[in-house]
Amino acid sequence: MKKYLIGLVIISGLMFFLISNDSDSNESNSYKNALRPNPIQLAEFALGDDDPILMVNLLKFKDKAEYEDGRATNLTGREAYEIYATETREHLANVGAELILGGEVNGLLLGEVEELWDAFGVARYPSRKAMIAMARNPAYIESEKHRAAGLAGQLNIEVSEQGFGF
Amino acid sequence: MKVKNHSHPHKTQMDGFFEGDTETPIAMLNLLKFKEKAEYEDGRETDLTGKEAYSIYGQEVVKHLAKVGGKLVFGGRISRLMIGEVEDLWDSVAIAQYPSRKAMLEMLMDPDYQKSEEHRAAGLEGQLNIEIKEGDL
Repeated sequence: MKKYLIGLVIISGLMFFLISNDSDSNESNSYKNALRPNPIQLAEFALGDDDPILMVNLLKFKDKAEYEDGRATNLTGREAYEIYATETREHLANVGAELILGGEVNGLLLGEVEELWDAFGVARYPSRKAMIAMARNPAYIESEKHRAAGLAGQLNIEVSEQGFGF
Repeated sequence: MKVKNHSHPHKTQMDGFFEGDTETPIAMLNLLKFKEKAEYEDGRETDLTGKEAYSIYGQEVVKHLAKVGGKLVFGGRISRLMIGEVEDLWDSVAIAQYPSRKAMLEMLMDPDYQKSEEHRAAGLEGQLNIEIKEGDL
């Protein structure tokens, strides 16, 4: 009998946990910035169609840049990322892509996020093949070291210009 | 980290928006989540999906933007996240440019805009609206 009661307490405790979790997710939604795609994200990306794509980047910088090769630096995270951003304009142009908008995040007018991003950029690629070609280019890989040094994490949102009514 | 989509700003967000620099150009990044079925605040019958109702707003807002010197830079459907994780991914993205915060306020106060906004409210479950100061990245 006592065992049965303990079981009941555990189950009702679990129910409470699940229900309260569930009602929480109706109004808030969690997100995680990351530095690089995970293998599933890479595979899904590679399998997509070959129409033009837009990549929306929401960026969070490190306070101080940290290079993966351990080199000494006095750069801030933002300064290191700016080196990457400047060099990447050329890498984009080489595959027929371009940065169409970029800037500082000032604030949120609608909604709430726990930790606001620092900066924002949108690039347009003629196809995902073009983006893959850029990412494989040794010159890009060299520039990307500055990105990894400066970036705490980001969301990278793939957008299709098809299918939105305006 | 948590993110909450809203349809209307908090009072403090609204206040903050009209303090400080209201004269320089801004871009507004909209990350949109639609309702499955549109629901109009006046209770009218509709068969529209949330996305269809919002698209009516989207088409009309192009001319409201033009009136105050703003424009839609682009709008599109979100396919997936390439980097990072979001529990409940947004459906669409739209970016508008305004000559200033003042111009945006002027649009929001225009009765014609407010008429179009009924479709936005009917279709939208919630959104993030992120203010960007354009510049070199």
